Amino acid sequence: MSSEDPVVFVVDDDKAFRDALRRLLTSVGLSVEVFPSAQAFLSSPRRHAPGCLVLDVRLPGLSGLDLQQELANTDTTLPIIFLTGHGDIPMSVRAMKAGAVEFLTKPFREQDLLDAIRHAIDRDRVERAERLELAELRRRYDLLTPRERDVMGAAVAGLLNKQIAGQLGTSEATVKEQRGHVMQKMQAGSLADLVRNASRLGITPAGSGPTPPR
Amino acid sequence: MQEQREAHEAILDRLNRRLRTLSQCTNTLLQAESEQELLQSVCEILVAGGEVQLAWIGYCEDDAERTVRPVAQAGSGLDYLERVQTSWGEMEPGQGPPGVAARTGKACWVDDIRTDPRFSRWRVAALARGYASCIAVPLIAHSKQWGAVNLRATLNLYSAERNAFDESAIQHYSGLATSVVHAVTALRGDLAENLAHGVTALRARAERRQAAEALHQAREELAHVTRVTTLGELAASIAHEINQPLAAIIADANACLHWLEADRPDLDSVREALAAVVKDGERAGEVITRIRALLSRSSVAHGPCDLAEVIRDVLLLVGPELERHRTVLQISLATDLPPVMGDRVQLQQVLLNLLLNAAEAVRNVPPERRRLLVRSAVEQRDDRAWAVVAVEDAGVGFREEQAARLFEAFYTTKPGGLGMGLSISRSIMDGHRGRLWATANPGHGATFHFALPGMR
Repeated sequence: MSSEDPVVFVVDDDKAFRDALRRLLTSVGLSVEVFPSAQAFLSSPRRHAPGCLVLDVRLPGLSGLDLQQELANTDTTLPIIFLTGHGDIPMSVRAMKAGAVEFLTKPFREQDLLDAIRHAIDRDRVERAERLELAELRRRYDLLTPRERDVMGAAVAGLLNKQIAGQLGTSEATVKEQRGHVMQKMQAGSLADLVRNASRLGITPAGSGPTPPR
Repeated sequence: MQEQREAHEAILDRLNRRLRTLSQCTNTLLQAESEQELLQSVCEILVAGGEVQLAWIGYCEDDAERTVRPVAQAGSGLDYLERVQTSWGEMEPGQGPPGVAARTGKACWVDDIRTDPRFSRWRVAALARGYASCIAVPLIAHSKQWGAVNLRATLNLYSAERNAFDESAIQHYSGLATSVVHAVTALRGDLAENLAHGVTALRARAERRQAAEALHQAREELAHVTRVTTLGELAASIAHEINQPLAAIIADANACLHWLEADRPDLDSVREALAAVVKDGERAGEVITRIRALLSRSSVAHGPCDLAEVIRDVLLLVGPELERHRTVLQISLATDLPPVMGDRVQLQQVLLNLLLNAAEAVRNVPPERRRLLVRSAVEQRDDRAWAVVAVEDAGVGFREEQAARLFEAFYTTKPGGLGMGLSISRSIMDGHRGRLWATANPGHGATFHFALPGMR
């Protein structure tokens, strides 16, 4: 199984239900890992595959909501689908506010759960891709020299080479050369690409270098 | 002088006897419980008094012959009564003392049976039995009040001596007869009164029985309503208990559908899932069965009961509710608990009630005190084994001034409480010849105990 195959984690203290859910998800071709408690799930090794968590709200010991909080603290963005035996509205509101994908009441319609799981996995996949992309951009940005970062900041702010040279107290030719390095290291095909990358990295034109004169 | 004294002594002796006879008769008249007993006793006392050979009482029948039918008799020559025919009619058989007395209402006597022509019809039989004189005193009373007193009878006495019934004797026996009439009248009146009283008593008893039945029904209904209310408190837990297997069944059934749709169905997996479906279905069914028993309106059915089973059934119901509130349940059960006679559902109700009370008592105390202990034990008391079950909590407990009122109806210390649970529980225990009581724990909380006599 490749690391890109999604995994559904099920945490439920009821063994019969846990096993039934494992069989159901397996029957539609999903990989499933089941856990009897939140603690058991937390102490299992993390996987780097996209996936989601199907979680009973009411668990002995650490509750489903506690686990949601715990995962948020550890920066693990695993989309959560909550299940409950009771139609507990305040609890579902809390769970949804904390970022749950779905809140289903047992017994639920199979399609509702499978839709929620697909949605959650897609979301996790996108988030993971975005995270990977961001990490890559960061890696590239880290390759830049301080001067190159200044040039990049000024460039994405829309300044011309001449203006940048004036600002940085250097020649236009030097700026042009440094700007070439930036484009190369950031693997940007165009200024528009570079601007997009900068915004994803959270680089605001004003914050990265001296403010252009008015 | 000597003769005179002897005569006086004889008179004194006779009067003494009569006095004794009279006093004996009076006792009998007061104590007799039936008319027959009364009349028979009077005859016997008179004969025992020594003045008469034969005493009998005859009732005047309204038949064609107007027979005077002997109803009580004592003395010698009782067969005389079988030999003779006595009537109170106008015809010849009615001309003897009994007939005359019955007709006229006045005493009639024969001084000398040998010579009195009125007695010729019975002379031979009477003389053969040694009777020399006789008297008939009427016993007559009419009263329309109860319709029961309509007495026409005669008291007939036969003496071995001629002229035995002089004026004083006639007075004596007439007085006695009046007393007998009063006694019979009183007895018959009593009877009528008793009859009327009896009807009233019977009606009252029927009404009491109806009232008791209504009370019993009301009590059962109340117990039922309390059970339903109690289960209402458990609704969330019960829904969870049923939802859980139901959700598993639906998941497994869907899994089977997916597997069967495949080109090469994974039959092993299908089999595994279906086995789980069966198990979960049974599990949900068990929950329903447990609840349905408690919801049932069925009347009380006493039978041998295993308290261990009662405890197990109730814990299955209450367990999820306790978990829901993070309450720890400890169990310590005696293995040699004797079986008890009782209604399983009602006993479950008592335990359920005690457990839910305890669960509520620990709901708002620090987590380390949020624990319950259910224990059972065998205790010897009054020469028999008792099964004792106790529910102990470390909760809010009760104050001394509350202790006396805990089991009163409509008394509650809970904000949403009806105050029915413990009062119903106690009445259930009363109905089982059992006991239900509460004790305050040395540290925190309370312990509620119930004890049932073990079957021998």
